Amino acid sequence: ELYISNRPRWSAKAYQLYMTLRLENILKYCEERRHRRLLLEQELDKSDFDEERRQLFRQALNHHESRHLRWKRSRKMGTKDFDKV
Amino acid sequence: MEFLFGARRGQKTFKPKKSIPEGTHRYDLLRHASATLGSGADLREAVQLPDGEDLNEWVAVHIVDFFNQISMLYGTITEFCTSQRCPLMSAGPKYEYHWADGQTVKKPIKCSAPQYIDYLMTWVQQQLDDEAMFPSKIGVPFPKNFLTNAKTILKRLFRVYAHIYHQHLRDVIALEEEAHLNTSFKHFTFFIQEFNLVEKKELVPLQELIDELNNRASKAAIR
Ligand SMILES: [Zn+2]
Repeated sequence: ELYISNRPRWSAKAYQLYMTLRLENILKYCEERRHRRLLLEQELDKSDFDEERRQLFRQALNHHESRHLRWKRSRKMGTKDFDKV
Repeated sequence: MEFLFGARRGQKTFKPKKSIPEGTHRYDLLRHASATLGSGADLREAVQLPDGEDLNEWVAVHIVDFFNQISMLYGTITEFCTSQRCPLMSAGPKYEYHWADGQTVKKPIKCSAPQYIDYLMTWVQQQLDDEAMFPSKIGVPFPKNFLTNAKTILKRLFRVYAHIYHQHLRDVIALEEEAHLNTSFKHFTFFIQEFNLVEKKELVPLQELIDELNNRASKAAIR
């Protein structure tokens, strides 16, 4: 008996577009996250905060970044965000 | 935008070793590795754990990403991957996979590739939907065995890439999606290498390709 997968089918065009945008977003995320950290460090350099206070700011940014990752993951953005072609 | 549309398909950067005869599958696999989107060096950097990030969170978000990428890729070739054409879940003539998830299927079963991939992807989806394993609520910690489970998921997802590269490369090329597949696999490879998430022996079916992608990324980083 012939078995064919019951997984959702996609056109090559949809996959090509998806991967192109994924790559763009992966690189953009990496760059933007590094930039946010850099901005914070620049602001901290301008301030007269002691090291303990600086650490608190860094931790706050880290928490924010981590929460954003979880939010993105639980949204489970992916194939559902595309219309089938 | 060059990194987006600069797929290097057609560039003759592949210099085969004399021992790889033209026209063989091995030759095709390595020749087509040159088709990727963007530069390898960027992706190598992108998979690194950002300062202060929780490793589990980083691994979890990547697993969801790879699952989506593979799901979509496989969705483009389902018509070619039938029980008739792929009666076994294999990765070349030397490697064959039998399905067992250790819970509902304890004794490994020999099945066709599409059946195996359906089992595998359904199993991964169940893991991703398991709130105890992949918590979605803010503040809920990951379980202690998260990384062990993550390694199993990644090991199994690798097998889909291995099957596609070995049994469906011609289909992928016909669909003009080899640059996209290579980019997806490179992302996956760099990620598992960065955190040592899949044992080397599991990667053997695609070791030559992995070495080739690593070499190319190292050269791109030097340039
Ligand atoms: Zn197949």
